[in-house]
Amino acid sequence: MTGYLLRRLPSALLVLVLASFAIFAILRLIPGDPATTLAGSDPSPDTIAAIRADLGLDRPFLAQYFSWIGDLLSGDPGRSYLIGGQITDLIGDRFGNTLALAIGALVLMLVLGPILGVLCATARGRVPRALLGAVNSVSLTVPVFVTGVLLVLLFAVTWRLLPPGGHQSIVADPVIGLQYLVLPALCLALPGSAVIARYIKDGVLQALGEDYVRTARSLGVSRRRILWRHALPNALPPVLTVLGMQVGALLGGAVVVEALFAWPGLGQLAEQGVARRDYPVVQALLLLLVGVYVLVQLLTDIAYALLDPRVRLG
Amino acid sequence: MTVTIDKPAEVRAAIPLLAAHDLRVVFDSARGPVHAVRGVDLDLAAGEMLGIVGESGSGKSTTALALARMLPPAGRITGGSVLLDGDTDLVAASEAALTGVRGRRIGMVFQDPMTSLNPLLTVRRQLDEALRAHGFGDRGARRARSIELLELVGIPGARLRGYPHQFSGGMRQRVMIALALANRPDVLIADEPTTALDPTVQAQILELLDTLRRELGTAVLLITHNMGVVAERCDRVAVMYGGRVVEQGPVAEVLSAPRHPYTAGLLRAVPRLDTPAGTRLAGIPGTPPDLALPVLGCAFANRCTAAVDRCRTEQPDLAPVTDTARTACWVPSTEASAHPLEPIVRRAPDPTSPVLEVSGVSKTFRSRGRPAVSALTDVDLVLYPGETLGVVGESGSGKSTLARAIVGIHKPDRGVIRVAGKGRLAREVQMVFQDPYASLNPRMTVGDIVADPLHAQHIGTPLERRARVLELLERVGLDPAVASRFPRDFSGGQRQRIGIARALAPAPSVLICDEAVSALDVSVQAQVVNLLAELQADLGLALLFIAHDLAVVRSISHRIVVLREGRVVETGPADDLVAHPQDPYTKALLAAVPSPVPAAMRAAEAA
Ligand SMILES: Nc1ncnc2c1ncn2[C@@H]1O[C@H](COP(=O)(O)OP(=O)(O)O)[C@@H](O)[C@H]1O
Ligand code: SF4
Ligand SMILES: [Mg+2]
Repeated sequence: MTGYLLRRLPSALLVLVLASFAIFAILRLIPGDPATTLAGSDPSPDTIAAIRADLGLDRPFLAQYFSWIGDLLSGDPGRSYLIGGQITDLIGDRFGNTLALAIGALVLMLVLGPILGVLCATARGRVPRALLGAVNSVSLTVPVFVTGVLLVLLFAVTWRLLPPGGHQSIVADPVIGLQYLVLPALCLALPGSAVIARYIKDGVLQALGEDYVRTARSLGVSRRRILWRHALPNALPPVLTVLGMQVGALLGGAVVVEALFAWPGLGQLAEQGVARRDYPVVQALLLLLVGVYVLVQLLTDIAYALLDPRVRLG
Repeated sequence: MTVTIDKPAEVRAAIPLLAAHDLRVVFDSARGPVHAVRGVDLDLAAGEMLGIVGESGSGKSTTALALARMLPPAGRITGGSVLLDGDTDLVAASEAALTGVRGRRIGMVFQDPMTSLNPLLTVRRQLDEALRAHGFGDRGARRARSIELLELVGIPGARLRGYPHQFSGGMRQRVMIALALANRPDVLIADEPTTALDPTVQAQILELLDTLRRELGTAVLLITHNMGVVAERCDRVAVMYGGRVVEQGPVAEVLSAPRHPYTAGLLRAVPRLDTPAGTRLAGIPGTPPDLALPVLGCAFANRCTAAVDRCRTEQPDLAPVTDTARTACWVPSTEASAHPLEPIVRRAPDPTSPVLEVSGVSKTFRSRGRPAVSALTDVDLVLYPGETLGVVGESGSGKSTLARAIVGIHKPDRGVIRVAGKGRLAREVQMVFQDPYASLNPRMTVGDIVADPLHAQHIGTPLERRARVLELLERVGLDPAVASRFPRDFSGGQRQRIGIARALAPAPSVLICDEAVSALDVSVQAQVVNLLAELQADLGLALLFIAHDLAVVRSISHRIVVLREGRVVETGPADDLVAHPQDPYTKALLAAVPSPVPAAMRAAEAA
């Protein structure tokens, strides 16, 4: 197991290195320049040039890249050009908030997806099956901002059960914090849940037709147990792969959801950073995203091995 | 043995333990309802072993599943009854009652041990679950019983914590049997439990079932298509055809004096190890009935040489022919039908210069994280024009690697493979594969499939190719008109004929048949083997015939090579090798082949 992970390490590092270069290069290829923004209205070319020199933007491309990487390795992602402050500070609090949102959404996804999937796979009768199918396709296709608005209208405006937006720290006050978390997390989790539900449904249906299910049936094992102990676990490995991808989608969705629910997370920071061409901020955020992605892939592999003895034991 | 016997043998009363009466099963399919089981009568007494034989598609598995109401969603029982202990009708029982019966009263063992166990759970968990399903003791008691069960089927208790993939096929089948026996069922239904296994392993598993039956008094319903297995292991046999039982009786009686023409045909088609090389196998011409279409009269009528007018309009029911046997035939034969051995017309091989020479060939497979496998070690063999060389050995002995090395798919690590003749290797050596379903591209017409090697090697003009395809189809016994149809329209035997036509297209000098008839039913297998023998005689082909069925190999081969773990352990003329094997491994292989002749009859023959 450890050996297996060690073998995966070089390729994970390679991904990070390549991604850092790509992020760095692409940002500089996008039209727009932080110096122009900083220089205020109607600046003279000299002012712009001076600011550029200040920021080090006049140095050769590769020199800029390596000094960024050098700083990163020594633990300093730099200062923001425009928002102000150390990037570590900027990311600090917000990272925790986004993490709370993402974990909340992930947990919901892992609960809702399998339940919906198993229900879809086992539903008998035309009406229940059609209803479940409809729930699934709606969650899958309706954009996050629409479901977000609908959720707010229902739970916050009509029923007044939950706050419509804003944020309270879960650590400081778990009860209040959770109330603020539920709606944005649910909104973020829905599309992923629907994807997982679809894979679970297909996987469970396939597993129910497998020989080992027939064996369990021939031994007098109950239907329920066959479903949860045989069919569902065997449906999980392909779900893990999509789950890894869903975590990526989740981080993308966070930008929209944070804006919608006034959730002070990295999404907001990213939005501001991109709008103002704040290179160091955007670079740090994108690299963080890639880092999370790589980590999730590693975790997926571990989960895969834990789930399937054929992978684990060879 | 610490297992106690629940039901002593003296309970073998007049009431059968399990009895099906007029059982009927229909499957919904894209082509409409398939009447897979059309009124089956069976009964099973405590402690006996009943064999069910018949060609594939005759409804054996469906019957087995229906007995425990285990049909897949597409199938349903449309009539009849299944009485357990003479009073409980399982056809009418509730799902809850059935859950109590399955595993506890009726255990099942299935054909494919590779897929029949849950890959994610340890053997221990699966045994534990089976025991728990019927409320067996507490955790400790279940664990003790699990170890006891594993040891009962000949697996060390220490392997309880293993996962299925860590066991070989034979071991997995043992685990499957342990599972089925966990709650001491009175009936064990085993559907082709050894078909997927090597003959030596097959013999061990059958021995195990036999022992369990004797020691635990479990009644066994053994489904097989192997007449030898029936002859050696069963007390009674039921022969199925077209979804019905057509003959039923004591094994010695049915196998030595079959009354039903189908049983007689089936027995003639079985290759026997003691038939000399060069004997023609007797197939049953024609194909089994299509159960999606209505069957009028006797289902066997269109293949039966004894058919009379009545056979085509009225369906015969099982009726007593002797005190103990019953047959469903309007004109059951009255005496034992001996069948004369008919030789194949063959040419003597031409031993002047070999057409294929394999010398000192070795091949090792290495893959990361696994020990290297020596698939072939120093293999030497020669093949002369017009000769058939049989290659036998258990799975994993290197037979297929050898075949692939000869056609150039694998490059040997050491040694040389020489093919005489003018053409390139790719043209001179052609191959017929085992799986007639997987080896034909479903999206190509039969004509295109047969012409494929001609295209690949730029042989002939389109017009010439077309003519060649029609000639080849006729040559392998198919109507040339089938050229425009697709593989899905054909049965296994027909597809194998198509595969042979394709292999013959570039006029090769060597034909390699890798288990080419192994997946076919005996009656069809006989037709294909005979076709190969004829083609060889007519075309002077050299044939490398790879199979694990020694009886078939003997019937067609001039010489036989025995492979074991990648080495040639013995080689010699077919009859000599079978009659007087030298190597202990060859002897073991031969000993594992069950003979289709009941022991009593063999004794009589010898006397
Ligand atoms: N799931 C299924 N759907 C449709 N037809 C089936 C199904 N299973 C079996 N059949 C049909 O039922 C008949 C009997 O098959 P089977 O019981 O498997 O025979 P056997 O075990 O003797 O080979 C065949 O015609 C087969 O095509
Ligand atoms: S009933 Fe007629 S067709 Fe059927 S097996 Fe007997 S003789 Fe042949
Ligand atoms: Mg079958």
